[in-house]
Amino acid sequence: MHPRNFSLSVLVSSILGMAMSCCYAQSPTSAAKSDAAGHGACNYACLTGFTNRYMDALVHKDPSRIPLAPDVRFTENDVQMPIGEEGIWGTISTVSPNAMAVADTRTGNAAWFGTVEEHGEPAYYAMRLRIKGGMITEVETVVERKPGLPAPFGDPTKLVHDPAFSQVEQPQERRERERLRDIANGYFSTISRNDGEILTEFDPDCQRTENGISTTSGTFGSAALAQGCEAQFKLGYFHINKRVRQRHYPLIDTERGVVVATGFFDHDNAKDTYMTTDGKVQKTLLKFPNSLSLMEAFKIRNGKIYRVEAIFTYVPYYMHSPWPNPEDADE
Amino acid sequence: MKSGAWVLVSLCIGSAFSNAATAQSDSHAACDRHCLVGIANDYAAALVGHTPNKLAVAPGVKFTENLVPLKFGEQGVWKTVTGRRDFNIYAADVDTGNVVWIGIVKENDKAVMMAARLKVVGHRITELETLVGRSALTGAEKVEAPRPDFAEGVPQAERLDRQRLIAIADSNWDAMEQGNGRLAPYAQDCERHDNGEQTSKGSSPAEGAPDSDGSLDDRSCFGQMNSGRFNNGNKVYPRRIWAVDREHGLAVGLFTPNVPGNVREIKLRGGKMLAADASELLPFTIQQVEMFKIVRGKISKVEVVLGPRVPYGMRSPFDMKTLWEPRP
Repeated sequence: MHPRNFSLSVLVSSILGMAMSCCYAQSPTSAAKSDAAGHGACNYACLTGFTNRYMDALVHKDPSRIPLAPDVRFTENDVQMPIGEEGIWGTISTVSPNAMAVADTRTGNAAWFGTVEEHGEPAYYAMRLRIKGGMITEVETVVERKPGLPAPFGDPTKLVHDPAFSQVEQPQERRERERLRDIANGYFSTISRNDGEILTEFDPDCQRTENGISTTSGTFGSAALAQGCEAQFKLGYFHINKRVRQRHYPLIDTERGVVVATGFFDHDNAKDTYMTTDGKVQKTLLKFPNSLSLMEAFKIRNGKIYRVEAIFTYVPYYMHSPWPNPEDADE
Repeated sequence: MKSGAWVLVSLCIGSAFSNAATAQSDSHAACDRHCLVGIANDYAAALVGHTPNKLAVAPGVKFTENLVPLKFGEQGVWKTVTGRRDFNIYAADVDTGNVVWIGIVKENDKAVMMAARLKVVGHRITELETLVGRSALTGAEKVEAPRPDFAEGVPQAERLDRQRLIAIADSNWDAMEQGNGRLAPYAQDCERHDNGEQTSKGSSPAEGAPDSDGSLDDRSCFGQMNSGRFNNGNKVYPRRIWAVDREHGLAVGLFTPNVPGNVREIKLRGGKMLAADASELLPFTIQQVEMFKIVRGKISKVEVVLGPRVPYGMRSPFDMKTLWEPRP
C-alpha cells in the first residue's frame, strides 16, 4: 500500500432517540409462554426494540448501553472481531431513522435493515441480533460501503422499506415455518445457475430492492432486461451465480410471513459470457471469481414471495461465514 | 494429481535430492533451489494449462486464493485463467521447502499479477497459498520484464543470515506504522513496484545524509514511509514470511495492513495535520505479497503483488489455523 492507493480508490446528526425502552421482561405470563427457546420474555416488540437499542449504542460508540452476553459473537462482513471496538464501531457517525426491523419470537432473532453513515459517507447496513435471557448473544452484520466494483447502491434518501414486512397476515394466508423456509430456499435454488426453471413461487406483484435500488422495476441492472421477480428468473438473468452457499435462515416469522436469510452468491466467472433463455448473449460485469455476502428479507404472502429486500457486499471468492449452521442442507 | 509425482521427480534430476529420494522421501531438504523453482514452474504451467493432475500433490493439500481456502485445481483462478505472460520471479527457501513465484497470468484475457507460495515436502506440494492482484492499481498488462535484480545471486561472503533478512523485511512495516523511514534500511536506489507499476520515485537518502524531513513530495521508498502519510491507524498484522532466499538476498511474505477507518486527521512528520482521504475513513484490510531484494543489508528493490481490499480484519487460514473444513 502506498499513498497513490488512497487517491486511486474512490470509495468511497446523530441518531434518533431510538433508545426506546424496550419491552423486555414484560409479564411473567408471556415469559412462561415463550421461554422454550431460552430467550425469555422477549416478544416481537421487545426483539425489534433490541435492534433499535443496539443501533443507538452503535451510533454513540458505547456498547455499555446494551446488554451484551459475556461471550457475545460479533461479525462484520463475515469477519469475527471484538464488539464495540473495531469495524463500524470505530467509524459510525449516523444511523438513519428510516429502517426496517423484523423478529422471530421463536428463535429470539431480530434483524434491522437500513442505512448508516461512516464519517458522513453512506453505507447500507443489515444486522441480525440474537437475544437470549435478556442478553445479546449474537450480532451478525453486512455492511455495503460505496462499492469499487459494480453493484447496486441506491440513494439512501430515497430508500423505501415496504410496510408489508410488518403487516400481520390473515391466518389463511400464513404458512408454517418449514414452508416459509422452503420458499425462500427455493428462491436461492432458482438463482443458482439460473436457467429459467422456477423452484419457488412468486406473487405476480413481487418486487425486490438490492442495496436500496429496485432491481425489478425501472431500468437499473436486471430490471433493464425484464420487469418483475419471476420474469427475470425465467429469463435466466442470474445464470452467473454458480451457487448460493451457506444459506442460513435464522429468522422466520410465521405471523408476518417474513424470512431473513444470510449466505453467499458465488460467481466463479469461468466464462465471461452466458446466454439467457431468450437466446441473447450476456457478458459478465467482472472477469474474475468473486462472491457477495448477503442478508435478505423475504415477505411471503399466501405462499408466494411478495417482496425481497437485500443488502450484500463483495467479499473474496468463496469466503466462509464464521457462523455455524446446524442445517446446512443448502449447497 | 498424484500420478504426476514421478514426472516431478524426473524434473529434478541433477538436483541434490535425486540420489537420495528414497531415503529422504519425507524431507524437503532434498529439494534444492533448482528443484523448488522447477516445481514452481510446473505449477504455473499446470495452472495455465488447467492440468492440476500433472502436479505431485500431497493428500490433504491446503490451497488458498486471496485468503480463502478453495479446492486445489478446481476453483478460483484455476477456472478463469486463459493465458500467461512471460514474467517470472522466484524466491526459493531451501531451509523450509517453500518456493515463491510471482508471475502474470490472464483471467478471461485480462492480465493480472499473482504470487504463489508452494510448500514442498517429499517432492510433493503440501501447501499452495496464492494472491491474485485484482487491484485497480496494476501495470500487469504493460510491464515489460522483471527487474533482473531478483535473479542476481549474492556472493557467498555477502550473504546475510536468515534472521537478518527477515528483520530487514519486517522493518519496512515498522517504518510504515510509525511514519519513520529511518526504521528501515532503504538503499539509495530502492525502487518499488506494485502489480508491475512503479510506485516509488527518486532516491532514498544515503546513510548519514540529510533527508527530506518528512516532505510529502518525497516519493522515494524512504520518503513515503517517513512522511507519516500512513499514520491513519494502520497496523500491519499478520506479517508472515513466505520464503527467505539467502542465495539471492530475498525475503518475501504476506503482509496485511489493517486500516480501522477512525483516524480523520493524519499527523505528519513535524506535527502538521492532513485530512484523511475518504477512502481511508472506513475499515478495510489489504492483502499484499512483498518481495524485498536486500543488497548489503539494505532494501534495494521491492516487488509487490497487491490484492483487492478485503473485509476488515480478514485473515488467511494459514494464520488462523481454522476454517479448513472440506468444501462441497
